[in-house]
Amino acid sequence: MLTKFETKSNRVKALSFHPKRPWVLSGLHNGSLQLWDYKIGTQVDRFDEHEGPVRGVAFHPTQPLFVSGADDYKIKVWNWKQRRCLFTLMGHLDYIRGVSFHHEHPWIISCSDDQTIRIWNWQSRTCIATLTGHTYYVMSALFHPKEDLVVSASLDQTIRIWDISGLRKKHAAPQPGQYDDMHRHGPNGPGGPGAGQPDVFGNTDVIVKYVLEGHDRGVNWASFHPNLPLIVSGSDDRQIKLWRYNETRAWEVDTLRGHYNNVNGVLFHPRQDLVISAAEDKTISVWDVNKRTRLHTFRQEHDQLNLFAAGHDSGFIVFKLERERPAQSIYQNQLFYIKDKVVRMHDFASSNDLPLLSIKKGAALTTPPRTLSYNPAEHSVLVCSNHEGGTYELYNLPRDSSSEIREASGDIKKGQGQAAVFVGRNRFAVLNKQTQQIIIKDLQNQPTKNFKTPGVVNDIFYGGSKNLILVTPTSVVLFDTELRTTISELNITGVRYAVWSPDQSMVALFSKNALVIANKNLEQQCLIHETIKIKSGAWDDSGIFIYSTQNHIKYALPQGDVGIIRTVEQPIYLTKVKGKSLYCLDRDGKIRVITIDPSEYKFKLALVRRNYDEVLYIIRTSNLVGQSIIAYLQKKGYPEVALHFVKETKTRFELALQCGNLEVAEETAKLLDRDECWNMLGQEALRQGDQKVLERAFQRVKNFDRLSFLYLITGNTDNLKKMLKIAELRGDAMSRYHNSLYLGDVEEQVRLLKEVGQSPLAYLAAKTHGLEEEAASILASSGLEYEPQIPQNGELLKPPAPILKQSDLNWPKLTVARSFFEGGFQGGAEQVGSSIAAPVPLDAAALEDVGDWDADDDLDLEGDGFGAAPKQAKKAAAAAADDLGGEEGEGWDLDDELDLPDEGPGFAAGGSEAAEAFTAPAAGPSLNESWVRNSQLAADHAAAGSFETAMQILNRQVGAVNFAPLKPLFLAVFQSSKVYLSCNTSVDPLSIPLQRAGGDETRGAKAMFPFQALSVASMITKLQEAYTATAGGKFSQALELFITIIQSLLFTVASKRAETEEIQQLLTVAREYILGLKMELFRRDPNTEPKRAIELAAYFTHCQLQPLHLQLVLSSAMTAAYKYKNFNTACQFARRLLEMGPSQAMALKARKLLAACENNQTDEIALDYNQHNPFVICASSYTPIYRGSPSVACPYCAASYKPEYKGQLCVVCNVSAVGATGTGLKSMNDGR
Amino acid sequence: MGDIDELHGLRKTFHVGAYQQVINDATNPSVRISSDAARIERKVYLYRAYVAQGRLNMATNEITQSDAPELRAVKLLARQLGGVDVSAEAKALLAENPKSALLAVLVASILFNAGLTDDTLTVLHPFKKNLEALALTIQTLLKMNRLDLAKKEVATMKTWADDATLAQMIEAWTNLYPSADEKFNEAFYTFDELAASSTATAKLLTSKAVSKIHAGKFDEAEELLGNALNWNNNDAEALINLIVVAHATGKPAEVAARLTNQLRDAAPNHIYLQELKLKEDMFDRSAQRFAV
Repeated sequence: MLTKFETKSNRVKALSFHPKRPWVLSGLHNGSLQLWDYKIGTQVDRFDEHEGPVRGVAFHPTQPLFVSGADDYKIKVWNWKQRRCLFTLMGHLDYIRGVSFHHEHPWIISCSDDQTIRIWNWQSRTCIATLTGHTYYVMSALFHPKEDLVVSASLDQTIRIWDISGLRKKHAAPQPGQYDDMHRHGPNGPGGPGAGQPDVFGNTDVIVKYVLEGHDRGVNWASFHPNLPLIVSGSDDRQIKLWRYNETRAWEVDTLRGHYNNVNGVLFHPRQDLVISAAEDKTISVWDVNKRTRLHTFRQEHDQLNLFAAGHDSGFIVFKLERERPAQSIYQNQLFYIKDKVVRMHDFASSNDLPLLSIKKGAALTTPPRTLSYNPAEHSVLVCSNHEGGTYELYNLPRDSSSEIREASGDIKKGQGQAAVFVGRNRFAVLNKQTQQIIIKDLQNQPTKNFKTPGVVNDIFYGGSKNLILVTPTSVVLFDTELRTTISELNITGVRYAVWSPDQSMVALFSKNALVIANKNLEQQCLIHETIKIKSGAWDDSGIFIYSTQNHIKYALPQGDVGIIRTVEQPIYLTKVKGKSLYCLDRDGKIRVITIDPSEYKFKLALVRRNYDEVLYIIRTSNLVGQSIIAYLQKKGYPEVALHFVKETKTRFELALQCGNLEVAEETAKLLDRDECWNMLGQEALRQGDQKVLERAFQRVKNFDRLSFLYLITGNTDNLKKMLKIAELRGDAMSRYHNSLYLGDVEEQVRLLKEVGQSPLAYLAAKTHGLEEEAASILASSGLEYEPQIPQNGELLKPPAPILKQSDLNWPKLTVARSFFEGGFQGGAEQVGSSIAAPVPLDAAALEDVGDWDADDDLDLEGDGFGAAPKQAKKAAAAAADDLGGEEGEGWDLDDELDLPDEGPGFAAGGSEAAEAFTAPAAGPSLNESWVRNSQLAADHAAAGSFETAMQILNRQVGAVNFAPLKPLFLAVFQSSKVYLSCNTSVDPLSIPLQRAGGDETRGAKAMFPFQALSVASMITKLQEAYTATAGGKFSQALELFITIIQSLLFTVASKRAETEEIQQLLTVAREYILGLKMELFRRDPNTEPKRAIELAAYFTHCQLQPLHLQLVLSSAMTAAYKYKNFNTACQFARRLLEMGPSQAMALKARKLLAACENNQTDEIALDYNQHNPFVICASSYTPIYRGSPSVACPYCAASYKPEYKGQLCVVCNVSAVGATGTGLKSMNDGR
Repeated sequence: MGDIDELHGLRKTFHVGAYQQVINDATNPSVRISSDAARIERKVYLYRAYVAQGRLNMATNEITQSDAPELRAVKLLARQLGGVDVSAEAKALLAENPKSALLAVLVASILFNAGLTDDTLTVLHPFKKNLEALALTIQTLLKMNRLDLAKKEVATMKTWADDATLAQMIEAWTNLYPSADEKFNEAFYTFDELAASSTATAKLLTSKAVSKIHAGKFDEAEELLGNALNWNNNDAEALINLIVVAHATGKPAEVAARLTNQLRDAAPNHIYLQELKLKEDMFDRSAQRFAV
């Protein structure tokens, strides 16, 4: 039993779950009702209107209503939204024991100590039926969840089943006679006319269907099974009875004994075949699986969440019977989890979901598995469950995935332990809590090590290879199982789960209400407290931990910032985060994918990591807005970033000031145009020393004094004079005086003082500045009787004349760090264009460049070139097989010769090893030798480093004589035949031969051949390249590529028969193109005479080319012929071209040419060319060899030559001697 | 738990190829070593790490004739890698101190490098229960193409030393050698696990890559080798295997050529280059015979 929630309160007499919300309503002995949210553990509301214990409460299944019944004989119907009692139903004459709603009709059923059961209509607020018959207190009465039945239990030792279909019929149709009902039934009191409700005409609305007798004492509770015709009842005779009923009768099925005291409540589990009962022996029992705990009193299940609640004398608890968290483990892209006792695998990449193994035979039969640990190396899982106090089982998963579920076969390896996890490829650790030991076992379930835990350990988790995370009540410990020492310890209480990041660098540890993110050495990175229970978590690829609580999905950055991603209605168990998708398991073990918007946390992470490029990118591309992000940025000290989110002027202004961006600040200040803004701007400008802005700010707010002073200290006398003028205009004497003082303008001062009637001062001013005349005139005009005294020790106050007029320059400004962002944003529009958008058009352009035939080319090739190959190959395969027998005898005596050293002396020496004096064993045969011995392919010999024999083979097969150009190929083949592994330090590395996968289809696994890098597929890729070059007119490049191909084919190994055919085809293609391209290059040589040029162009059209290439060749031949006025020949080419259905432009050109030449079908130059006479071209002299003329051929590429070239090196393949004999290239080893 | 090996961590670090960390740990003054033998051994590992990093002078200059014979063996090894034939000296040194397994391993290393496989095995024979000696024995057997014997040794080893890092590596080496039952994946996981439990080193990454190459997964191998070069951009084996990958994935010839040049730069005396040179000469000679 898992307790979810517990309260302390007065005696709880009744409980009800809300159908959807996580609420429980409890009725207390003191008459109050309490509404609790068990998820967040708080009391939502309380209602005190009943007087006396509330013994019955129930929520309405759909409406925001609940009903309560108490010892004050009142039934009250409440609305929890309005938080008040709507009305009270009166009628019962004694304590009310239970109340509940009908699932469909607006009915309430209540039972009472007055020996009646009443059905009420809460819409009309009337009693519509009174069920009499019980002869003592009625303890419970419930509607059947589907049918028209009521079950009641009474202390008269009976259970009664009532048929209410009559009532239903009456009320199903619109009711005119509800008042009649009331009148009819209202007077029916206790002791009414027996069982049933006779109306005026003797009909009954409710009749007793069955009376179940069997209990020896009063019955406290009876309830229906949700689906089956079953009833369970609990009685003061300490027994629980199961009853079955059908249309005609009802009978006792079984009695469950075991409670030591009165059974108060009993009900069926909504989904499992379990009965749960509560009794006054302070136990809650689950029948079928006998589980005991303390407590007493009764009732109610919650059918959605598998939750139960039980009230007792000092509160109530909400609990569930078993865990709903599916056991799961994740490895790379695969999730392994257990659902319905089957281990399943879910592939995130393909969303395939496969059942792998049924574990029904194991402990999972009775107890659902708690944890699962997966071992990728062995493809096996460890399943832990609480069965028998903790059991683990080790299963090997089937390798091949088929849709069938397999049973775990053989003996299940299992053992005792509270937790078991893999700690290595072939080791797992088991925790035994009782003895506090950790046992390391191997895959045979044999212990290899065993040691005491360093403290009290409650649980263990994987802690990196060979390490374990041990969870003690107050800390987690990283423990090295190899050294048996503690590596580090982190204080955190009550850790329940540990989740590793995919790269194993970080681990998230969480308890119910705290989350700690630590690095792999268990050093704490951050601690996050949650008020709501943390359920699960998974790591994002970028190092963000996403976790789920009871009702939220949240994220945590490694430095401790958290945020909510979204809310969830039901707890989910996160398994993996991939980009925008969040994969999770729900309680039914279904995989769900939740799409989330990661931009917020990506953004925050980028900020934390100072990855400003990304920040910038996210700002531009995502729609992150809102106060929260601005507040976040401001708080975290990134006002400059926040600035870019804000449109609102006031905030923008404040942010701009905060990051000292005067331009933005001034701009926004202008918009706001409020004095306090200008003042603030002025202050900031002053701080930075930007006097221009400061001046403007002062001007705006008309702060003349400061402005004057600013002019004074910047030496801006001109503006000071203006200020003087302004002051005069304003009639501000003080300001005028100030300004004149700043200017050192004594006359002005004197004039001003005179104006304002301060003659003595004016006189003094004049006098002290030596303006004697002025002083005298003042004295005269003012009529002063005496000459004011000039104070002694006075000094003349004269502002120094500015030496450097800096009024236009700002002062040395405070350097305000220009953040990355300001630049980024200022360049905003353009940069977006260049850095992000640019690559796209570029790519497009590049694609266009390659031309339009390119795309067609590829298609054509597959269609024409090799599409047909498999068909041909099939036919040829049979033929080839026939050939084999003949070939075998011919030249392969080599094999026999080399067979000799087979067994070698090594085996002989083996025995002497045991002798006293150590004799080193002799070296074994190297794989190189076996390759050479077994293979008939030059490639394999070259790979083995046996170049000499490789050359011999090539010489024999294709008459190869010129090996110089093959040197890179030989070396490449040799190089790629082995890898080097550094084993012991400072010792030469070990060279390990690399073998071909799967050996050879005809020879089984025994025959091993070296790995060959050159495959048919790689050759075809090369061919595409060469075609592209040809189509693009890059002839010399294409020629080089074709030569590479023709030479590489010597070392290309076919993996199946069909490929040998393809190799031959490739050889032909390469030969034709090489010849054609060579002629074309020769033709383009400016020294070639016209006649020769046209001839070569003409011959080129007779090479076997791809149709598209041939069209090009024909087109160029046509042009060449026309150019030299060989109109007839040109027409021939044009017609041939048109027959091929060329592109429009090309067709147009050909037609034009035909039209032009129509009247003049002559040839200026006589050519050695007749298109109708079949010929091959001599590869050396580029002249036609007409059919029937003598010729010789290259034994490898089969290029034709005139007889006089016999013995020379073939110019096409550049490998073989013309006219030499060869047995033919072998691309595959024969089966023997 | 009493018999905790003080040098356990150091040894492990050394075996997975984290030489710089060995140097850091072995010179860390705050670590106290109780026994004299361990102190010498620690020093041996320090100098071996220097040698493994190619800093031969550290060993040749700092170790003197008065030092422990094991240290002197390291010096010999350094001299050998510097191009001096020291086989005879090494044998003589061992003859004076026939009991030291560590010395035997060092001397055997020298003999192995000199190509004296028989002598190597003979020297190592008395120390079958020493993992390092066994490791070298097995490498020698593999070099001699005696996979059968190597497997036998591994099977024996597993009865007594299963969990040690080096033991796991030894098993993985034999698994990488082609045989009928392909165990490349197993080897991969072994290396993967080691890389996960300690730091990833160029050596482990290259080893992982070799398993991937064997399994035909060249792209994954290429990535691993790239990572290995990030750890040590002169790692000869990573470069060599990258050449194989370049050929296998059909990269242009220049790629392989550039890698070969890089290798020439990094380890001019590497056995691979010697062999390559040999083969080139051999090719030229053989090609001559067929010339028209």
